[in-house]
Amino acid sequence: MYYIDPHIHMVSRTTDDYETLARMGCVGMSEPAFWAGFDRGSVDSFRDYFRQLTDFERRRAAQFGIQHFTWLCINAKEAENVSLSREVLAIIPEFLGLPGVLGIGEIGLNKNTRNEATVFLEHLELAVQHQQQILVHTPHLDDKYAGTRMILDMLCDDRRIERHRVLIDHVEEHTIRPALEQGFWAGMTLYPLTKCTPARAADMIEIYGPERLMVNSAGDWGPSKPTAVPDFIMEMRRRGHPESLIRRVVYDNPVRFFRQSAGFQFHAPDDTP
Amino acid sequence: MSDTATPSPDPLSQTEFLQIRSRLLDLAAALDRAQRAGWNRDRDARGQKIAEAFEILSDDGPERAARIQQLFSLAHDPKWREIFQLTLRTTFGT
Ligand SMILES: [Zn+2]
Repeated sequence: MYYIDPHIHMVSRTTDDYETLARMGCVGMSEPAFWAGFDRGSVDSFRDYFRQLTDFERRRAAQFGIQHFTWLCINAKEAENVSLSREVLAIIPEFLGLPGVLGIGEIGLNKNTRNEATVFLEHLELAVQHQQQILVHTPHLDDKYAGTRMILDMLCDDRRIERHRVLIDHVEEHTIRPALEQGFWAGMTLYPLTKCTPARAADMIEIYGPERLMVNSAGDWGPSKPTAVPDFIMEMRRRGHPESLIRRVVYDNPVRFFRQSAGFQFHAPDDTP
Repeated sequence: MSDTATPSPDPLSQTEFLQIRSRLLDLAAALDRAQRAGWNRDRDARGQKIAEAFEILSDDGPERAARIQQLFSLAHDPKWREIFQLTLRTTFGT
């Protein structure tokens, strides 16, 4: 089965990983801008990172027939530095028209601080001004619930935000309902220890249905598994779910959501057996 | 199993039961390990959370996973915006 990983940080993966993902049926992926494992010292460091996301990773993926898309922002962790964040926000428009750029992301909260909320709101403003889609990171562990509620408060306060063009990522059992009920898309991140497992993601599909739901691997610097989406496909098959339902979650839904961005020029592979 | 009627699928399969059993043993062994290392559950706030989580597991109500998530979550303060007093800047480099 062909699939799309809607949230994977390929800058932290090897070229061998691209090949493995291609062999497993991955035909497209979207890579949000995030933390590099260390705090960057200047705006130029972000400019180079955005070049890596919009140019180098795109070409590296294409070698294996994978279409690579990306999102730009300063992540929630580094957003604690408001003055650096404003410098980064000022250069983002240079990259927004490039092929493969889907919008602003992954913005969000990390420790739910005032500075993080300030920079989150400024990203929303940038997205609105440039009619961009938004991909939202929600915090981990004991900060997730309060942080997700704060994020939903800020998004719902702004009447200009089109909720069907916003993805709330890393939802779990206690945050999926408010995200979906308010009309947003939601992503479940399959990640050992701190997020969701393939079995729990399959449970949430059974409870909430496939509408506006996706699964992703995150595949980043942490102990993550870039092949987690195929694990989810296997779990759904083991439970006897139809291929059409599985395909909707791992392929049709990402396409439907991303298609709302001008930068999503996707060439669907021939999916006939 | 009767050989005349098609058995209806067991809502708890044997595989699922063995997984639950195995995870309970993992939990028990992890707590034993912590205890052998000198951990005192009653003097650790996390120990209290773990004990409450076991209560949720042993009741028969719905949405145990969501309730355990909520147990390990900080509370949301609906007045957070007033506390933070956010003001929005609306100009960006173009
Ligand atoms: Zn991420």
